[in-house]
Amino acid sequence: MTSQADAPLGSPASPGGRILVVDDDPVTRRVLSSMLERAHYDVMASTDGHEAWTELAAARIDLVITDREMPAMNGLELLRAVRQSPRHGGVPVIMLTGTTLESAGDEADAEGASAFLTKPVSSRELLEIVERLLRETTAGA
Amino acid sequence: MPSAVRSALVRSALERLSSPWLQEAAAFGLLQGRTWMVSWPPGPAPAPPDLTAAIPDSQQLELGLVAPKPGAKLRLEADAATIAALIRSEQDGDLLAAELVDRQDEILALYDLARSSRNKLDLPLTLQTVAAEMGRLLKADIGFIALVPENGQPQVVTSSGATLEPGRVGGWLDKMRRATKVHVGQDAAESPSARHDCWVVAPVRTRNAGVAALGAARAARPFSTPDVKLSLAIAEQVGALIENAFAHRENLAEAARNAEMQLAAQVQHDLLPRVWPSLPGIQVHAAARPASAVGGDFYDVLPLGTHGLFACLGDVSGKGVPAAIVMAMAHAAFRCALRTSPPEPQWLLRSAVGSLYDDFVALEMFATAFLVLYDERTRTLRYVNAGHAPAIYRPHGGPSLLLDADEPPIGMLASSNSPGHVLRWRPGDLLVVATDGFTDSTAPDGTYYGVDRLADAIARIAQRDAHVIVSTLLEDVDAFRQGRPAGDDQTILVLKAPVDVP
Repeated sequence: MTSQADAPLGSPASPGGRILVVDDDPVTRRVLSSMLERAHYDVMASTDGHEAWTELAAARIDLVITDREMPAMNGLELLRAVRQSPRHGGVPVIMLTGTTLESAGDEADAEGASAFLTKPVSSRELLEIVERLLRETTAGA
Repeated sequence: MPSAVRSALVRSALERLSSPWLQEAAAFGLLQGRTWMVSWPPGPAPAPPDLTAAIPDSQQLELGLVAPKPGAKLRLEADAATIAALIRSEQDGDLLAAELVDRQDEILALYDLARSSRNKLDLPLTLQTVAAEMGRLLKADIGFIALVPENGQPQVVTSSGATLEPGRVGGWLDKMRRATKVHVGQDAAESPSARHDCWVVAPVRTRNAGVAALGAARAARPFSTPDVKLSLAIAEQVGALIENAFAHRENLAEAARNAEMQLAAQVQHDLLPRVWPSLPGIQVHAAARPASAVGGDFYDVLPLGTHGLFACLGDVSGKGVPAAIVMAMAHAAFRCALRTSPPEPQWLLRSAVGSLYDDFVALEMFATAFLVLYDERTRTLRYVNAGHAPAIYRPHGGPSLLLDADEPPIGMLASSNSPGHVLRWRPGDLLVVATDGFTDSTAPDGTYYGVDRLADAIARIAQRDAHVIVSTLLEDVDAFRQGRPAGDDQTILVLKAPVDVP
């Protein structure tokens, strides 16, 4: 396949950045994508950690939002892989979970998550964090 | 490029279609405005297409083939129709997802509002929170709430501290009194905020907390149907918040009132004698039970030197706090008279009438009073009755006699001229003075307790000691009421000459 730019098919360059949404639940994936697209972010979606890792290898990703619990390569494993990667180690990763266990946030912190959110998340909360993390990444670059 | 084309589903479909087409053409792909957006085989963009098929209802999207074999047109058009259906499906999905995001945001916003307001029972803080949340949730430049409590002044709170047009807010509050739906519009002349032409105003329903209008305003961006629904949902929640804040305020005020009433009751109780003078020829006892926390009945018992005692019982017109205040005045007037007047009941009454008359006239109140002095040396009771009933004298062996009033109640005339009366006080004699709260007590069938029933009860227990007579008469009237609440203060004073007086 050949496309005209590094962005997904024909997408104009997003002023906000490209975000990879990783979740095995199609509704959550779509809801998160919708929140981000309405804020003019360029959104890619994957259904598990393996697929996300492939996307990360293929395209420039500015931020990853991943579910914690997924059947194949869960969010913590994906996060660990990202942090250990020389190429993607600095990519902000937001960990999402539906669990109410307090330890979930601690685990995500320990693995280097940039932020930890529990579902359901409001678009305002999500977009505030995304914007902040992208701004910090840009400032640190 | 439409977002649907970015979808994985469409991308995947195109990729699957590319393989068979590459058996029958040099290149296959998607174009927009004759420009390749994506193409197969991988590599540089192909030459301009030789055959295209428009994707219906898309933004100039086409499927294209380079150097196709003959007969490809129909199949390419069918593929274009399939891709169009996929795109429409994806667009529908996008719309559903967007709607889902809106609804989820609303639910989370209402949850946040409830959570942030849960502990805010202070009304100004509640209104401030509501105004701020309204502005934030409606993505407005200004959120506001205007409230007119029942019997209160209008309060207007805005999210940013900005001021609204008082006249327009007043107009909206008037509309909200009758409104059942959310009002929305784009008209600077009607907007509650002069600086914003787009507005939404929702009525807030409360029970006993007045009328309120909840709204938001912004410039140049009209509020939509979802905004209207969200406003209504917030307004319903806000009604409960305001009611809670009002209820909390009322509870605090009620607690303060109760504390004050308890204090007043304690003060009134402390005015009553707690030590009963003891003389060989007389026993004295009394009790008072106000119908509410405080009452207008009073009694007093004081020793007079070593050979006598003073007792009085009175009943101020009215009930509750006003009667209690006047009762305290009367109590003080008699105490003062005891120090300054000759120790005769008629002189004490004259002194008290002189002290109280002007105030009672000004207050439009009056008080009945029965004053009695006992002299151990002469074994006599001297009394004066200022409009009081019932006062029952029962000589040893009976029968009971009513001691009628010989003076009007205090506050009726500017002076008192009663000469007073004298009773011989023999062993076994009994004097019972009660207030009308006693005789006016009613049974469940509406029957009054009355003077006769009181006299009968007295006759049954006349030989008992004074404190037993007091408690027995209270029990008797309680039994008569059969649980009905007392409608008036009940006070009783009993003087008893022991039978075995030396």
